Amino acid sequence: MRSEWLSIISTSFVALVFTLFPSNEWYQNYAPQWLLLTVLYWCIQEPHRVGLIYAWFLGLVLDVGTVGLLGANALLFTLSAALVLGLRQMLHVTGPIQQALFIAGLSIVYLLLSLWMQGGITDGMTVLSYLARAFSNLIAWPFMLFLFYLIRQRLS
Amino acid sequence: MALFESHRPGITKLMILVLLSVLFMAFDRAGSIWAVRINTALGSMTDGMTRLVQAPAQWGQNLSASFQDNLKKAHTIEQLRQENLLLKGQMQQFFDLQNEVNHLKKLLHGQDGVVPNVLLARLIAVNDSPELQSFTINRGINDGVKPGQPVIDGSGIVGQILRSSLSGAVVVEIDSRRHALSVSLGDTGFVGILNGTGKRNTLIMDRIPERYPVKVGDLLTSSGLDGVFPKGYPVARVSQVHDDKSQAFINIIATPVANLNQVTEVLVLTDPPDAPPPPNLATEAATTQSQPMINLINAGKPQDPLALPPLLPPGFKTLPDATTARPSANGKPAHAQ
Repeated sequence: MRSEWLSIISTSFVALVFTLFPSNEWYQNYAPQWLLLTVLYWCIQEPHRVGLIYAWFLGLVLDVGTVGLLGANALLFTLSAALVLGLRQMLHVTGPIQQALFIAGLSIVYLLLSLWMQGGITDGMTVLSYLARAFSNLIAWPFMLFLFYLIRQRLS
Repeated sequence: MALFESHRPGITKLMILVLLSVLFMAFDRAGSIWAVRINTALGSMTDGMTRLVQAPAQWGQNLSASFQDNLKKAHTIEQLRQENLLLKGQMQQFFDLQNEVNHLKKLLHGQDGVVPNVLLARLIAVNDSPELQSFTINRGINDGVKPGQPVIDGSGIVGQILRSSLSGAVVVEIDSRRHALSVSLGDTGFVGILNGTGKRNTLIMDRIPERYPVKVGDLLTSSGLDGVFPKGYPVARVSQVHDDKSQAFINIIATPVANLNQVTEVLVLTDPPDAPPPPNLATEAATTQSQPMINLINAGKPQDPLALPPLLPPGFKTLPDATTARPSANGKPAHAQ
């Protein structure tokens, strides 16, 4: 019980650090959405602990941390978590690759909605390169599953 | 068994959270005090985190500084001492000039400028996004940093404070897409809005009437009309002039004077000094109608800064208190007069 909360909160913290990590432009544009992936992972694995409210709160923290529109990421985090919780019984039994594909598709919708809410796109960046983050999510998901599996094994 | 339990979220909970998010977005766009409060509260946490992440890099810098050659250090100190002496000498002259200018200004308008309070701040994190080019500094509410205060470096204006929290503050740079400021163009007397583009070191200023002679290399200085940036600070230099013959307007592209690529230390003007109170409607009407008498009468009156909302750049939510004078000496050693 205690250890599960510990692993949930510590992984969320590390994901947030990775997101806010001051680094070069390339990383900031193409890195996977660590915090979103972490929240969705815990929604699939621990649905009675991590739910909508947790996702909403982390989205709000992300909004503040990245100096974006307050509430935009919170809304999208909540909707993504709701979708994943709704389809959880299916997602829980599928393999890592299918899960990763589903998460990548979800994050494409996420990114497009986020772009729409931000109101447009700059000249230097095309939609395709903006959506490249979904691809990095796709690649990152199986590794994250493995890593989190190890963490849970160690802590329980 | 956990596998067969459905954890489908309740529709009521979902709706409440969605509504709350939408409400927050509306508040944030409208610049409500609640959005600022939430930003400050959660920002204290996230700024603290970026500071924590940045700390090892800082230790590394300190370590490498302590291993530096002693001779080199002595040399640098000597160099800095000479430079300091030189600057102090120039400052003496400057104070003398300042007094003279104040005296003359008093004779003219009845208001004088004060030398700004500046606060040295170190950059702790860069957080760029396509919407907003910003960085975090290591000074916050406790040092008197408030949203809307101008930030400069050794050569010109860098940006302004967007959010201030307990553990730091976020500075938005002048070249981000959501930033605009009022500048006067060289010595032509034209005052216009200089917009950021979101591209590094590129600022644009559109629709300057053709009768103003604009050349590449002209300096744009802050006009002080926006009520945020004090008057007379260098902002940018014209780098390209697009003269569209069919339009009778000139569009220019300018490059910031401040070195935005390599910001390491900046100065926050904690008391924006001579940003004048926003122009009164009456005074403005009087000058356009060129009725010197009304103008004179209005100049004698104490101006009410709330009479007209100041021209604020579109991305900015809080009205900075540029006109309320704070006591200048608040005992902070970092404040230089």
